[in-house]
Amino acid sequence: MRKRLTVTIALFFFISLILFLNNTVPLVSIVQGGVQKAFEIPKSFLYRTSKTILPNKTDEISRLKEENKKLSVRITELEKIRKDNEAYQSQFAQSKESSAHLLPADVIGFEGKTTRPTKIVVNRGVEDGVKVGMAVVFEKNLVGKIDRVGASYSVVVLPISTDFTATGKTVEDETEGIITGQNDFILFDHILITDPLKQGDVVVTKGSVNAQGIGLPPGVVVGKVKTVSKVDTKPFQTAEVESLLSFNTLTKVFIEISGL
Amino acid sequence: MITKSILIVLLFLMLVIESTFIAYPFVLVVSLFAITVFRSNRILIAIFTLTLLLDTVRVIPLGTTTLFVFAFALLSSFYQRSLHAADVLIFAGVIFVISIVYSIVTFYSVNIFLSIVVFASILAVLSWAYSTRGVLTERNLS
Repeated sequence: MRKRLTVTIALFFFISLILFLNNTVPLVSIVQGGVQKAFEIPKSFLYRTSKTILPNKTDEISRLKEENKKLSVRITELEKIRKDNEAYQSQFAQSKESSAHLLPADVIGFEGKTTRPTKIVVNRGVEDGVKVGMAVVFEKNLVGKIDRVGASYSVVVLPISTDFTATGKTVEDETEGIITGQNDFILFDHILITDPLKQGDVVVTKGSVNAQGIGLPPGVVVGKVKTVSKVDTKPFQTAEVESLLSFNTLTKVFIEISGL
Repeated sequence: MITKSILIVLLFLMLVIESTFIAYPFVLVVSLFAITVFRSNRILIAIFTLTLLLDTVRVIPLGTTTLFVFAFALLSSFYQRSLHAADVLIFAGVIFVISIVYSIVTFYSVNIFLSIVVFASILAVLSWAYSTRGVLTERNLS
């Protein structure tokens, strides 16, 4: 009896090993896609339910945060328009029409802490044209970028995650730096000590799109500078950036699919 | 029979909780304890199916969780056969280490507090089952 069980265990172990080593086989992807589709509706429903059941902040704070988020986005837009106007006037340059296409996706899971997730799972995958590195946004705010792609699901790495890195700049002074996650907050790092940076500055993506049009587009709001850490003897200054989004309450996001 | 059916339902619930509400390897931990306590084909098939489902819905390489579970099952089987003994506490310690390694490999954040709560709960249930129903004696666990 015991020997038979050991044989069964060994058999399952080898099947697992074969499956693990043949993840990209089309048949496996088709089956995975089917399973993910079947689980999509219950997972989406349960995730949304959990977000409505979980205790939220007071209405007033939520309202002010929402207002703050909208105003920050508006400032960014106005600043961009002002700079565009200056550029047009001085150089008669023409802006290229963006071919980015927004694909709506439901958040159906997460990784990391419940109150501070570092990655979220969305119900879009290879079948929907999603690729690793694509930007994910919500109301012109950066949610993250695609980290892993399954047949029907994808995992989005949030700016708060240590796996996230991007180039960024401030809207006000165009101070450039590197945006990295620290699991508890977003760090705006490698900023020259001589560059202007102050509390309340809005940080946006500098843009890093590859030849296929995949990557983070410029001007997407990452957050606001909360605190600045500056030591005169060091060549760089750093800043803690606070996202205008509450990642743990997101239920809908948009994936920027270029070239569609 | 009923205990095993409850365990399969519990594993499915753990799958839903793990992939939606709380990022903690519940399925792995419960599966490893289940394999330690109940060594039956029915449980093995259920665990195999549910762990593959978990890998699919979590968008991690298919077979990752299954490999962890069955590698442990295989090694524990050899251990029990060679020493003719199995202490639940030793297995609990090994499962604890495996759950931490698995958390790191599959992008979970290591939550020691939650781990302690989960392991204490499972050990309490096993202790209760042993004292009232003699579940563990079936498998010659000391």
